[in-house]
Amino acid sequence: MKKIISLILLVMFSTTSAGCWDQKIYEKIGFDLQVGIEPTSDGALLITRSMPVIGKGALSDMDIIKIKGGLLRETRDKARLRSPKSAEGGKVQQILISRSLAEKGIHELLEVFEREFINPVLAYVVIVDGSPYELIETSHKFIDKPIPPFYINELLRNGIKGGAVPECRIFNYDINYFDPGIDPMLPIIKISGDGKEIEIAGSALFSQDKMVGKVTTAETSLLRLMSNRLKKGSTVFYLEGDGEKIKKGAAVSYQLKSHQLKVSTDNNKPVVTIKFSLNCILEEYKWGSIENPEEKERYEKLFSKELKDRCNKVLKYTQEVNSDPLGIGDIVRAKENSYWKSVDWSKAYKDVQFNIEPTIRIVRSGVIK
Amino acid sequence: MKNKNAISSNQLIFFTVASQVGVGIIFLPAQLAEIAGHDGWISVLIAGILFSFFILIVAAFMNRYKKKSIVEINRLLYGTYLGSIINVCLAAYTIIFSAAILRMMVEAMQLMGLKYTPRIVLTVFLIIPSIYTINGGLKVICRYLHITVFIGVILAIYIVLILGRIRPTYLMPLGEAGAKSIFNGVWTSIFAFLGIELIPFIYCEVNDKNHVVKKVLIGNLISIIIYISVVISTTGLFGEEMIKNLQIPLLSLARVCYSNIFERLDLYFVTTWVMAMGCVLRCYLFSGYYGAINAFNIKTRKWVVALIIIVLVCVISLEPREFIYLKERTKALGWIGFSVIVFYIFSYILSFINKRGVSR
Repeated sequence: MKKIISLILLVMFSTTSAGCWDQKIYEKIGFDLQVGIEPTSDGALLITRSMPVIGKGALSDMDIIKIKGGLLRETRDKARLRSPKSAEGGKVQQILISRSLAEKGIHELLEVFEREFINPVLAYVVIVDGSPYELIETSHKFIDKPIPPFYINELLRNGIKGGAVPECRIFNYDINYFDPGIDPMLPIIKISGDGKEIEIAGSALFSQDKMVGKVTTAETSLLRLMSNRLKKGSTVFYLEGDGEKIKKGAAVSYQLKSHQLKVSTDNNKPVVTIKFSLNCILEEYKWGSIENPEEKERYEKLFSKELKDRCNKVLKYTQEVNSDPLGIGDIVRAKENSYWKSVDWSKAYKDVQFNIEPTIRIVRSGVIK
Repeated sequence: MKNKNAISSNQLIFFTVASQVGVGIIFLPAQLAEIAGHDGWISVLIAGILFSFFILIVAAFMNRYKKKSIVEINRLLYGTYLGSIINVCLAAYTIIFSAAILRMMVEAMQLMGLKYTPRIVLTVFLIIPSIYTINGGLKVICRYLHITVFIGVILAIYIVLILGRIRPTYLMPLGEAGAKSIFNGVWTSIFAFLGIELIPFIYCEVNDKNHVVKKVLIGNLISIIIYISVVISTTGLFGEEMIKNLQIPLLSLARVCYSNIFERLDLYFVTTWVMAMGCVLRCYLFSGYYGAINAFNIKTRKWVVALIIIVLVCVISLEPREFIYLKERTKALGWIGFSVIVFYIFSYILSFINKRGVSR
């Protein structure tokens, strides 16, 4: 008898509790995979949503909906009036924001993704050099690439791994935004290759939530390296006399062996010393480039000097645009707290004196000299 | 007849951890960030140590009466009438606290998915497992509480997953908040360590009483470790400024975890968290039920008492209507819970004057 009652209860609860959630049939739901945001000429937002088409009969594999509105939620509701599928945001892969909007500030645009539990904070935030709508629309026509959301995802993942792209998920952006000692950095993408591919065109530097500058992918790697956020990567060093040749530079892959970032103050100005050493493997240069230890040391010095110059150049640029992507302010707050409290960091960052001391060791040069 | 409430002192470790951690962990990191900034973990440590002293005092108090529950002790110490009033108040406290926990479980379900499911439906479904376990007695509850080991492992996995993202500078400089703020943080943390006030309710059912102090202290130590780990990892991940803007930092921590195979790991965390809150609910609910049947000296038809308590808990849990007021209610309950511990300490002192029923 007890078993029968238990069985009845089990069936009763398992069937009735299923009714607690709205029925969602996979074929009837439209999953937003990309959300493009850009300003319109009359001060509103133009939201582009792309969702995969599931089921037979459609000629296209993606449904792209462009809607004008003031809020993302508002445009979702409008999208539901146009699309045969009910749009859901739980699978958003990328938020594509136009550069023109990024220059005005983007923090509040991402609020909805943090507020609503079902929305993912793991989606990538990307700045588009141009119109996100055009990028989505154009990339949709690529014939030799995966569908755009997955194509861009792969580009970003590979870029983050290789160092060319900063960590750019929604929560990364929000953490950096809220921290008074760090400024966010987001990747920039654009249509290239005669409109047949998407390219990572560098990274956007932010001051608070406004885009204030742009660095190249190589400079992004350097910034990540200096902030100890990149362990492996590759680069090309250009040496004197290379300019006249067709084949230019020496390609190396590197591994970060040690990193030290010290902060102090001198005459009420912050002094930041970044020491890091890289173990490099020479991957491409010229025949007979390293024949003896002296030659190796000469190249190590040349590479170190070039790396130092590049680091100083990019840091100087960040000071010019007043963006602190390395989080120097955060380290100053932690280690020189009395100084931090005495200054306005948004103004003091320009006065930081950087001492960059990279050390390069060529540990291998392949199977030829 | 076999006593279905008899438990071992080892099971008391699970009881202590489950009753302390399940609910306090929800708001603590955000509340501490507002009060003590990134030094909140220091407040937690001090509060944990303070609670270890409370445990020693409460255990010493209970040891003076050996086989008696707090209900009987109150009658001996304060007389039949006043003692009975105190007992009813204690039972009422556990019932109201149970209602608050139940409501938090309902809110969690609504926040994370079942947005428009009527509150009453969720309330009924969430309390059913508790009715089942309470029917089995304290022994069944404590056996169920072994699930806290699994919950602890899951929590540790989430923390390990975000370990690489923690910025040590978010926890520096040490002591920046100042002594006053850290002290204020201790008060907030004290509410998170509540749960040990239930020990006197069930003390008489523990078989090996000689080990009670040691085991409750171990439980408290585990709670300290869990709280400090969560406060440090959430503060180190989000930074004190962002954490102030979060409702439930632990949930936000789970949201940033990613796995290639499972994708969004936060969805799995929700299940674990509801189980953790269920553990606390069962601890308080049983204490309320056990306190009530002892307070009214009920020997037969105990199920009627259980039914009344369950209905009371469900009805009370429906108020307040908005989540924001629930936070205020929890704060008020925290003060009452702390007053219960102070009451135990007072009773301990009184037991040296009124020695009626004290074991020799």
